Amino acid sequence: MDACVLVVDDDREIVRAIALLLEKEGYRVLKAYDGMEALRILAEAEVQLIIMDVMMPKLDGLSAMMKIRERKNLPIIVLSAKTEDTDKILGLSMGADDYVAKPFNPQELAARVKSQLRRYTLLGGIHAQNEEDEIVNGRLCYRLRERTLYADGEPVRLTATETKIMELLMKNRGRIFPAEEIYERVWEEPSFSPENTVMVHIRHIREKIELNPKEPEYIKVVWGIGYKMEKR
Amino acid sequence: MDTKWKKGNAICSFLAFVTGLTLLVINMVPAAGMAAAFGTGIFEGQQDYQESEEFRYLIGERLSELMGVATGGKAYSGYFSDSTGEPSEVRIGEAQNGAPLAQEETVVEESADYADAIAADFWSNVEGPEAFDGNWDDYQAYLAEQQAYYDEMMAEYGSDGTYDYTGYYGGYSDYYNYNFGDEESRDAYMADVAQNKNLRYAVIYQNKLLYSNIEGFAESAGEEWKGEDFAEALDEAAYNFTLWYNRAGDGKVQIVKDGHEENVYGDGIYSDASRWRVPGYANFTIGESCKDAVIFLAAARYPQLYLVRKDGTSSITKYGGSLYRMRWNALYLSRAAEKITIFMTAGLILLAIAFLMRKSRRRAVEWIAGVFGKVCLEIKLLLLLVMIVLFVGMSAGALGQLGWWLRNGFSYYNWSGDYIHEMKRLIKAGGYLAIWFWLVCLVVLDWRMNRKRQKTPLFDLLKVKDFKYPIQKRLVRRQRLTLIAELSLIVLFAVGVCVLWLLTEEYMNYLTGGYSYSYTYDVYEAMAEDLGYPLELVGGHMAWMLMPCVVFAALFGFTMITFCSLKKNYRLAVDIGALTDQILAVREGNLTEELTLSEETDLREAADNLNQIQKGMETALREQMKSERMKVDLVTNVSHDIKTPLTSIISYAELLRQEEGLPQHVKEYIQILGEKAERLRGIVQDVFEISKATSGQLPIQMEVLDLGKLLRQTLADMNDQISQSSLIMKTAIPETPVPVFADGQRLYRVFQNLLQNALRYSLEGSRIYLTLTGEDGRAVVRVKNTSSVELTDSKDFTERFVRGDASRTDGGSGLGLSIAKSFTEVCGGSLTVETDADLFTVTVSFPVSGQGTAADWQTGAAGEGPEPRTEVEPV
Repeated sequence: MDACVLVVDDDREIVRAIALLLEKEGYRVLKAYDGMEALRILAEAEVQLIIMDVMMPKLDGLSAMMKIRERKNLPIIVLSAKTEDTDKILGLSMGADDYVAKPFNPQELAARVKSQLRRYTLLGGIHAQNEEDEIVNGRLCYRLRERTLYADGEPVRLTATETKIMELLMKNRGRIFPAEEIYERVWEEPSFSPENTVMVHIRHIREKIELNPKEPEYIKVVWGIGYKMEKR
Repeated sequence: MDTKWKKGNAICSFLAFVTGLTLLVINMVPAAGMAAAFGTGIFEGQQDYQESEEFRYLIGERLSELMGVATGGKAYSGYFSDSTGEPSEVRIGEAQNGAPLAQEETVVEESADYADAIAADFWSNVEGPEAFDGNWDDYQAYLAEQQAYYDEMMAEYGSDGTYDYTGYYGGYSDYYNYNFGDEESRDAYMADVAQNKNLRYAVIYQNKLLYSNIEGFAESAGEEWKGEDFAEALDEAAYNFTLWYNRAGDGKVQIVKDGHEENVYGDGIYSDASRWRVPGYANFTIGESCKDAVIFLAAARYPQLYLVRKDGTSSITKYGGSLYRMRWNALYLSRAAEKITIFMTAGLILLAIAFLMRKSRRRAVEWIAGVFGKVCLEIKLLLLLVMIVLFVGMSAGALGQLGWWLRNGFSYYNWSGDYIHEMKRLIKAGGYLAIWFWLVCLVVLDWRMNRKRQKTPLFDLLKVKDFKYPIQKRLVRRQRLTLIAELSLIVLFAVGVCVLWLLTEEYMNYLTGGYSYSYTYDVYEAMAEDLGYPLELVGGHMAWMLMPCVVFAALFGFTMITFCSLKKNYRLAVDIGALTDQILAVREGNLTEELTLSEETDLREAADNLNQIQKGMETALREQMKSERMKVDLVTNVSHDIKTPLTSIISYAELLRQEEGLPQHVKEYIQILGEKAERLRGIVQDVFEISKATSGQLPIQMEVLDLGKLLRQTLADMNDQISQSSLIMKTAIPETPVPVFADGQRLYRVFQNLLQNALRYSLEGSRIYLTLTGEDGRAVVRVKNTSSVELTDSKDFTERFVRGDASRTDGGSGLGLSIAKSFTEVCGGSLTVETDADLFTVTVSFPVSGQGTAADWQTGAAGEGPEPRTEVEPV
């Protein structure tokens, strides 16, 4: 695996740490310390993924990203110390594929890089294969006939109950299910204090499909109401 | 030019309409009177008075009287005298007791001695007929009684008693008895009668000419009648009516008019329909002595008045009035009829013109309505009231007589014969009718056209509907009662005056037979007496008119004063409303808009002070907001600046951790380094959040959610932590939904913090109690745990960086409770902490959302019922 990753941040130590981390994972890493430099390197080298800070001198991350997006379609992960929801939304809507808040867990960043790259390199052209028995939701893909869940194109090992829960949630993305309903549909018997049981299973599923199970992106709790599969 | 033409058209059309209708209404009354008079015989004499029934009646009476004179018997007659149209002025003939009657003035002049004075005084104190309400029988009885008393008195004084009541009240008395047997008085009477040259006569008894006023025969009275035809001595052109009685000795009457003999008797039987009431009918029996009498009568074609100034009297006497009046009445009636016809025709023509130009008229009517629409209702009502009172009084007489007419019919006046007076009164009544008609028209027009746009500035002051606050309504209502009472009094008073006036007029009509206006004063006096007032207090007509005026003015004044103070109160109420609104606005946080009241408001000080308070608060708030924002900015910047180096620390700690071949103790150091870096990250995040929450910059998404379910979800989420600890969680959460309106994400953080707090600081092996109950419409969550360290009572645990243990060596940031409190309050709930020895209790309460039902929030899509409000405040 010799994918080339461009890391852009004005903080040299952070760039170096990320580079070390990714090189350990086997990636080739290019370094830049501002937006202009990043654009220059991009013009010269073949890069598969960019990790870029927002607040940088000369040309900030968002502006640089817009310039890159004019010509290239490669995945961009935005790094920022700003953790407000509005900042995340702004970053994602301007062309970022992912958003990681500082200070981040290095392992999580590595996982995200891996996920983005796999999707970009492996699944980039698979969209044509999208048949009727397939439910695609972001990184996730559930094949009805196989009763199998794929994350970033790789099958996820789920138990029978977990598969049932995932089938229910994937079929009804965006809809909120109270715990009782999930219990009644999956276990097919009347529920009695199902919150714990359902929660345990959901936690297990999260650990298998989410990049950061503590901040889930797909299976979310709607507090005081129920659970839902976020539409991606 | 065009508009001018149109304007002229409108004015012409309108004037034609109004004039035409007025003419019609005014003349309608006399016309109706005349129409009613048709068939009563009045109109027969229009061209020739001798054709009237009145004339025939008079001739019959005169014949009968002269027969009485001829035979020397007693005469019994109504208006006996032909000498004048006003019988009260002069009285001729003899009274029953034989004493000659003369004029009143004469009588007073002649009363020289004491007895005479007493007599005059006595009779002047005798009651008039008014006192008997027109009951003649009672009056006659009363007079007879007074006469007897007088006679007695006169006998006592030794007087010969030459006076009696007929001298004073002859004008009212229809009854006179004459004794033509007394030659002296008969001569005097006939001397009077002779002055009337309109009616020539000759009285012959037993072929002896007794009396005559025909030239050539008057002097030969007492001589024998040789059968001369008196008619020959008269100018036939001047005296075109002659009557002979018993000329041929057959007891019949011959009448020749304009040279033609009239058929007097018809079929010879007298009935009500017979024209002449003279002897000669088969069913008309006369005394024997009458058969010796021969009477000649001739009436003038054009009667006139004969004036005589007698010696020894002070007055001029008119003679010949009856026939003269008869003729002139007839003429007047015919001319009046002509005039009425002309006027009504003119009215109809004008109406026809107005009908043709009715489109232009509408403009004029609209213009008038527009002018009226601009006048406020109160003024119009007052004017209407005044006009009604005035017109009721003024027109009561005229219209009352019209009522008399309607009750009695025109024929009632048949014999009174005063048509001139009657016609004038009818026209007057018509005029008043027209005034009433137009008044009603105006009111109806105003009501129809201006009802919607009518301005009622004064009555508007009484409306409380638009007021928001009870104090405003009370303020206005308090005065409304007084005003309504005063207005009612005014109306009541006006009605009272009207009724009084009407009653007076009616009473007067009753007394005078609808005739005279000269009794007004007497009538007021009589009324005062009737009501029991002393006459001295009445002070006459003026007092009666002044009293209501004064009372009305006083009432009006009071009402105006009330209106003025009501107006002020109304404005005060409006100002209070504005003030209260402003206070409410300030309470809700709107500090920018200033309260502006009118210059002369009573609330100036209050408004000014409120504005000052508002300004002060606004400044303070702005300052506070500024400092809060600066604080948040500071915290944000600091946390951002911390985060960047923290990233490096965490990253390199991770790299170190992955490094192989390091000694064990170094690995432990790296482990600690990683953990503390993680904790620092948590603290930075918490500080950031709390600063946003307390400065009100935290975006929240409020929706209806089930608090019970949220607690169960939180517990399930933290299941691992709970089971890993040595603590036991005891929960009491109802299965039924407990809907509250809050932000689920924030609320989760609240309970997560509370539970983590409990897990972290509880005594090893103790129990944590989590309960959810409903209390007074609030959902109350309690988390109770036993603290592992000793708690100090005075500590406020919700303050930032406060911990039970001051050493700060545990894993918490000291912000958990503070965040929980801030988030709870942001969501509209309240969080309190109580400590009792080592028992630590946190109470979170929320108002139960009444709108939320299980169905609404179970699916999460709260569609119809409660509105899931989304409030994202600007960051």
